[in-house]
Amino acid sequence: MKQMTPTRWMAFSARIYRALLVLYPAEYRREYGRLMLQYFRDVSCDRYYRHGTIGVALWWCTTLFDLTTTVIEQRRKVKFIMSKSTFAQLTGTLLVMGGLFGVGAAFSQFQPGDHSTYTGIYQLLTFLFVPGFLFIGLGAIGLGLRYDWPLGTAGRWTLYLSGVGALVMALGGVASAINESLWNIYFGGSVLHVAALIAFGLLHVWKPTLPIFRALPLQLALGVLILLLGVLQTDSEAINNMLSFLLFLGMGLVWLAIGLAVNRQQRVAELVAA
Amino acid sequence: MSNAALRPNDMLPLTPAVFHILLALADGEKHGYSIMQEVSRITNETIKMGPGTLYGTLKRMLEAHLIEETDERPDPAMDDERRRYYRLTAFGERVAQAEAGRLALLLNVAHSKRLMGGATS
Repeated sequence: MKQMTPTRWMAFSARIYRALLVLYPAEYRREYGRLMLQYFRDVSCDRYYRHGTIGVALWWCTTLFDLTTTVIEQRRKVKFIMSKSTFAQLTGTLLVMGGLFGVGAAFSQFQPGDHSTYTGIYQLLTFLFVPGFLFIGLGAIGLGLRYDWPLGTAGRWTLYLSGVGALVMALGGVASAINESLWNIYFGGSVLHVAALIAFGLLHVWKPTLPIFRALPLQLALGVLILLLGVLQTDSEAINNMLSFLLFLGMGLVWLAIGLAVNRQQRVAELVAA
Repeated sequence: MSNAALRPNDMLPLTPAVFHILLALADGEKHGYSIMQEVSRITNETIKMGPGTLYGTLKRMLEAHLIEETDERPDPAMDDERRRYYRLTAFGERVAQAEAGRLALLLNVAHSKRLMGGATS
């Protein structure tokens, strides 16, 4: 695989931030979006040349926290008037973001030795699970809203519950970083996420609705279930690491694929409407 | 929001982000990134503002007439004309002075109560 040069992946990083700006109210985005992107780029370059990759990773942590708080602040000012349809249109982008963070976080599984205490770059990579599950959760809820009628009540609610489970996982990830005893929140969220996703996967095999291969959601759910139960764990640490990596990577890639398919379908629909 | 009926003291106390930006703009107009660099310098890099915080605060400060946008460019040859520059208004300067005075009073009280010893010795 061709290695990305710093300039290329910095440009890629800026593209991700630009996509995230869609979460702000449209008027605010039009007024300040370009300036915020320019500022994000300036600081990214500064951090890269002063502290290298770690500097950019830490800047991303600051930016994600900043994004979460200021999006809520700006949306409260416009009384959360993001319509159901606007949120549904964001679904594809949210899932693409969730998938990308999932793929990035999968590489944390390569930490040699004890997995209970991640260190260095592996610790930074595990933090990517938090925005990953946050976006996956919002994306799953968005899918339920977007494919409202064809999904039917059962399909819609299994997606909503799966989304809520992923959001609880993100919350649990943050909570357990503060206090390890709060790990149960993450575990409870993952049980809800997987159970609801299996139910949705089975429904989707029977009655495909999303613009993807009909068994894909079920495969995704089973992959996450295997991860959760750890049933394929062996005595070999190297095999376990590789297996966990592949399962997390698969999870990220599937959400990414679903997000891209939803976005493609939306573009086609917009072209037809035009 | 209009500041026609407001006196500087009505705006106090300021949030740390607003006061830091007022301080950064006290010696001339700056764009977003140079504001952050100045804030970072005067706070020994302890304050890091994300894009949303910086521009959300600038927006509020524009609405409160503490700052205004300017078309002037300090060095046009070195500058990207797409950047937006901000400077203090006369009202913003008076508010910054009032906040600095308020904090100086508090510092005097802390000093008289011998709360500053640990920080200075």
